[in-house]
Amino acid sequence: MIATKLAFVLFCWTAAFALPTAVQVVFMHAAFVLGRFLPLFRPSSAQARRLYVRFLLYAGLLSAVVVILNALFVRNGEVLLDLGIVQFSREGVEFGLRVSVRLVLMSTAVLVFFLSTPLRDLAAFLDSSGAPAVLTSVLLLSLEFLERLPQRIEQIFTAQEARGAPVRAGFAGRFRSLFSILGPLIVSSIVESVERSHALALRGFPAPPEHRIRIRLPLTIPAWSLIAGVVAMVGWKLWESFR
Amino acid sequence: MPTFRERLRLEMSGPAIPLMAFGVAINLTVGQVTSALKIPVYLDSIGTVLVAVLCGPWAAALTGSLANILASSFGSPAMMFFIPVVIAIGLWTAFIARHGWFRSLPLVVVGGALQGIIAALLSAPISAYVFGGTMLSGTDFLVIFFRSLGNDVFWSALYQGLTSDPIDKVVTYIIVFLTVRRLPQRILTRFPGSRSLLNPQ
Amino acid sequence: MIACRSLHVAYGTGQPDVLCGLSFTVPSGSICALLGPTGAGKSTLLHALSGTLGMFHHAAQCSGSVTVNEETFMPVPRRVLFPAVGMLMQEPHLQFSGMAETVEGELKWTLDNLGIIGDAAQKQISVALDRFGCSTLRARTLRSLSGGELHRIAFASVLVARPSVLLLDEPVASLDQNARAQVARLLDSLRGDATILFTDSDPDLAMRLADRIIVLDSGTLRLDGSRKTFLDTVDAFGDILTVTTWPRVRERFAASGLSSLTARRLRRSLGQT
Repeated sequence: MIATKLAFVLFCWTAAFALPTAVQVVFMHAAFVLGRFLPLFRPSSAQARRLYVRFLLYAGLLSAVVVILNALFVRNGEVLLDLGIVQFSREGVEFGLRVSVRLVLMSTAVLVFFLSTPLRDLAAFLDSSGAPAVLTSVLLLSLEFLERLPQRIEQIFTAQEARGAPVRAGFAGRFRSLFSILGPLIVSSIVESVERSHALALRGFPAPPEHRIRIRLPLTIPAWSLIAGVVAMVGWKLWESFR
Repeated sequence: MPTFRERLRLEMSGPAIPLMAFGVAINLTVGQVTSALKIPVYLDSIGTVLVAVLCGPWAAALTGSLANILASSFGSPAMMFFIPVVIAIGLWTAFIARHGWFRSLPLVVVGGALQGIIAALLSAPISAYVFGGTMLSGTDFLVIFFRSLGNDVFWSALYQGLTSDPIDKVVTYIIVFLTVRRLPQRILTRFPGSRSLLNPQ
Repeated sequence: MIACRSLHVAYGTGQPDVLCGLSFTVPSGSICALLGPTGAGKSTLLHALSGTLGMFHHAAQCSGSVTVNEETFMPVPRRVLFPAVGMLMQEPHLQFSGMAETVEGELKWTLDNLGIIGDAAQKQISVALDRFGCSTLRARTLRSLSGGELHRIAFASVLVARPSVLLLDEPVASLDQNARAQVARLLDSLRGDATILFTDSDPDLAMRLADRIIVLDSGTLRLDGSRKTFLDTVDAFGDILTVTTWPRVRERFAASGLSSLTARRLRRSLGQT
């Protein structure tokens, strides 16, 4: 299933550069619908659903701003609207639309993938598919540290403030405090890295290659279809370029 | 002469893996510090720079890339597009670290400024042609200002990057420099990049 | 079995020796306590024996030899001796891989590295959890565990690989009396199955359990002998070892036998758990 979703992301990204804007708009709406209604692509948690809604609002606002700004500042070609002090050009609107549709299509595909795929599941998929152990280990450890670091930062911040660091003073004082907070954070992370590496090695990490279990799952028909679509789009684009 | 595979294995062995994970996490959480202190810098590549100095270029490239991928997964899919920029940050930083630049503060400042220029040069086309020059952030005002002067979207994005990136990267480099030089030698020598910090290349 | 011969370790060229010519032997299946104050070199010795010093600390200057389970290394092992050697770190949260969410996943991670999967892995996990009375925690997430539970699972994650040598870095440092007693019972049950070397700055656990006691001070061996030998010379260590209850216990030990069962009875009679 994850392989199918990855194929979907690849398909959308290829379409964003290979296909005309009008076709991209169709795929963009298809991505929205998939993310809303298809179980495979639906956000996997309540927090993910909220992030999806927030993204849709952001995408709409960003698109509007991109179109307006480019319409204002691209001064070539036909003028669509003349308000005296400002003019909106056709070329600017078209450029803005092209850019915003491409951006939203690519972003939606990525976001739908991540919001419907817990990162630990992704790491397990990568591991069983033969991805380097370094990649999956760093990914999983990052998730662990991401949970703990905010609290550690808060502790260091409070400790340094208690020691008189000017964290709420003028700009110069606050800038100096930056070093007194980030310094201990970085040093403690480095020292912990050394100790953790011992603990990992003492439990046999990294496993020798013969102990790593790889399960090459067959690709589904939808995945193969999407990959075929990618190949077709690339081929078509190349044919068009050399025609 | 070790092969590329052997160098890669050495770079990503031992404490490198937990350090890379910390680098990813620090990249994503450092904003908590800068916003609490109300300092207008991002420092969101500080973890990448740290890994580049202590481990090497490819470990740093992986750190930066994973941080951007995770940021995408947390609701900012736009970060995926800047992966080439963070890879360049990792490669450049490791290159200058290997040549001993992180043993001297003036060289660190110069290296950081050059890094900022490189980052701006790589970010500009992404910002211009993927985002149309805007990302709904504070830096948009700078881009709008440069566009109002008659510059096209690429040059406006480049000028905006050149205004903010060098400062951000210089501060990042200085923080890493000051921190790493205070590490006890027996901790520092655990990392493959430490040789260039202790001895001239 | 663990043995060192004239082991010197310094962390770099020109650095002072952290271990100064250590020579001792811990017989197979016995329990040995390594006592000493902070900075004595206890953790360095454990890292030298486990292989992490030789593997990770390229700048370390070592001489002498180390023998673990009939295999002799000169001067120290240059690879981690997993699964023959298991080591429990002082901080439980550092022990965990960070790559598993549940207790079962954490123990399974160790076995995956050994290539043990399927039913064999499930069986070994069950045995390890049963030993610690943690079977009910199997499906729990690590995040939901208390400090004491985390400590036991950290221990289980090491023991699940069935090491023949067990190195424990201050295993009871952050535990209350009940938990300490649990750890003591567990180590006692492992006597004979594994060679155990644990460090501590307080002789309390050593007096309950250890067949041999080694006292280290600034990297130098001050004592290598039985509990009786330690008790006979204990006055010499008052400056470097934490003293809690042992003076009163000493008198009773001197008057009676040295079995751990007797020690427990004596301590109970003195009103200590």
